[in-house]
Amino acid sequence: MAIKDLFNELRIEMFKVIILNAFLDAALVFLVSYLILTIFSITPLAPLIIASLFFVGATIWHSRTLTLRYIEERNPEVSEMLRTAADNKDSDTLMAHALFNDVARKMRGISSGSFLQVSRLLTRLSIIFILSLGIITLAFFNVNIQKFENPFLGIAERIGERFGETPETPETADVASVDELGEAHMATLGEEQLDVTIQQSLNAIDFTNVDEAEETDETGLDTFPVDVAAQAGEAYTGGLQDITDRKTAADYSQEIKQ
Amino acid sequence: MADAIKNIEKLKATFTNVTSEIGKKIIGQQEVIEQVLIAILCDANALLESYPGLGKTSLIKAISEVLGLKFTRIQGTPDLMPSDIIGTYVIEEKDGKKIFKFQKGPVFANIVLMDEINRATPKTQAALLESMQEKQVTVGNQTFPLDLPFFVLATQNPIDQEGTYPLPEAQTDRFLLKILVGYPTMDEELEIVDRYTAAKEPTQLSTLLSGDSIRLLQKLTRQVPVANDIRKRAVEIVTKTRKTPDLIEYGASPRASLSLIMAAKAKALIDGRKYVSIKDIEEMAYPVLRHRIILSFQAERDGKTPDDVIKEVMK
Repeated sequence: MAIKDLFNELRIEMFKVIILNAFLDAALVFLVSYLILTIFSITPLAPLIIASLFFVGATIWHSRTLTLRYIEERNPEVSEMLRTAADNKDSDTLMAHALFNDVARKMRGISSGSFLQVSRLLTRLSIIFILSLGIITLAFFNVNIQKFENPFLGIAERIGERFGETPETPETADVASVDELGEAHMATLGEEQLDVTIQQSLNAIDFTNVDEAEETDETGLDTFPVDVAAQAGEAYTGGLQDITDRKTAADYSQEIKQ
Repeated sequence: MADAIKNIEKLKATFTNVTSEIGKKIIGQQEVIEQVLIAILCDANALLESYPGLGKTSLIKAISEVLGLKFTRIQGTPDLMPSDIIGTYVIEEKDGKKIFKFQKGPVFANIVLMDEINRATPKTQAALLESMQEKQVTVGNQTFPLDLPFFVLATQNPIDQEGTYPLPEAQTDRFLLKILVGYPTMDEELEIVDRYTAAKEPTQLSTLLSGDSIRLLQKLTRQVPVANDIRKRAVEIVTKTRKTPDLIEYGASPRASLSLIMAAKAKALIDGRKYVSIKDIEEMAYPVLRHRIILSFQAERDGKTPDDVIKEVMK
């Protein structure tokens, strides 16, 4: 095998390592940015774009920095041999050819795996695993920055009180600034107040938290009477005070029957 | 090509066999044996420095025997003449005619051991220069090529400097390495005593290489590839010897850079590698540079040796 072919083969092996390293770095960048941007409810497309740009940049950068010296550092037993072969690749002497044979034989035993820094690789994989777990946990507990109280609000209130200003309470807050999902008390059905919690990620409504309805006076005119009963063949006159009215109602009932 | 590459794979085993074969006669001194082999592979010369009685001559003889090379020994003395080394014309009678015939001197061999080179006069020392550098000798107006491979392994004694002629810088620079032969360890010395005082036949060494195979190995040594940054490191070390005036008065020449790279290549080949490592450069810097630098007064006053200074230069 010509030494030039061998060096080309080495370059391909190095490129594989570059791609793997760049991919792992890009995966890290994606996960970190996804983790951060999800908290702020920013579209998942943004981390993907960042990671893609990082991948391209890292590949270009490593292609420039990862030279033959890198292989020498990773394989010190062949470093001088490799360097000598590279410096004398155009030599056509018997000793040079013997050296090229030696280099080719030794390099066959060196896989691209030896170019990888195993500890660094394991660290990156561990970080990727931890970040993935973090993302799953955040999704499960639906952590969102907008659910947290503004930590500066308390400070602002105290400053406002000091200067005689009335602090802005949630009741008096601008309705437009309220989240589109609204306040915690979402709907009122009849006299029963219903607390509805809409979970953004799970799209499920929690109906478990239902408050007991408050006791109200039901004798008012705007409510139905408690006991309403009617008998067949008889006109219902319940609630009519005047006798004339009762008679008119009974006549009307009789007419309908006929 | 495939077969040749397969043979290269066997080089380490070959050098291991050579070393162990030499080890049958020479106990210890592995580093010295390796450095002599490096000098031979680089097609260069080496300067051995040691105290007397450490087996330099035996070592060189054993190496030449195992490598299958012709070996000669010249003893350096003040009255040694250049003609005693390179040879001279003698009158010979042939078919009733008297003719001048060149009588080859001991320099006509593959490995020449010049014992105590610093005892020979500068004129005689200079006579070796041409043979060391050009691998040829000139007598009168005739030039004779030397047998290849050709190496001069010169020795010198660090003590007893009276009546010696220290080698000039120009000449020491022509030696690729300055090899220090140290004392053996206690165990090694016991084994030397045991082996050489026993009533048994001297060990016969096998010839494992030949002149031709060594020339091929020299060719391969030159072909060992070097990475650019390692080459740069070698040159940096050598140039730094010229930029450290507090420790070094005169630094090494660019020839030292060439020598350092070549020595590192040979070291890699002996170790069975097809490329030069930074360790080869740092290891070979000591024998390559120690005779090429002149320490400053300050360094000498502090009791530093050339090796200490080279170590500091390499930091």
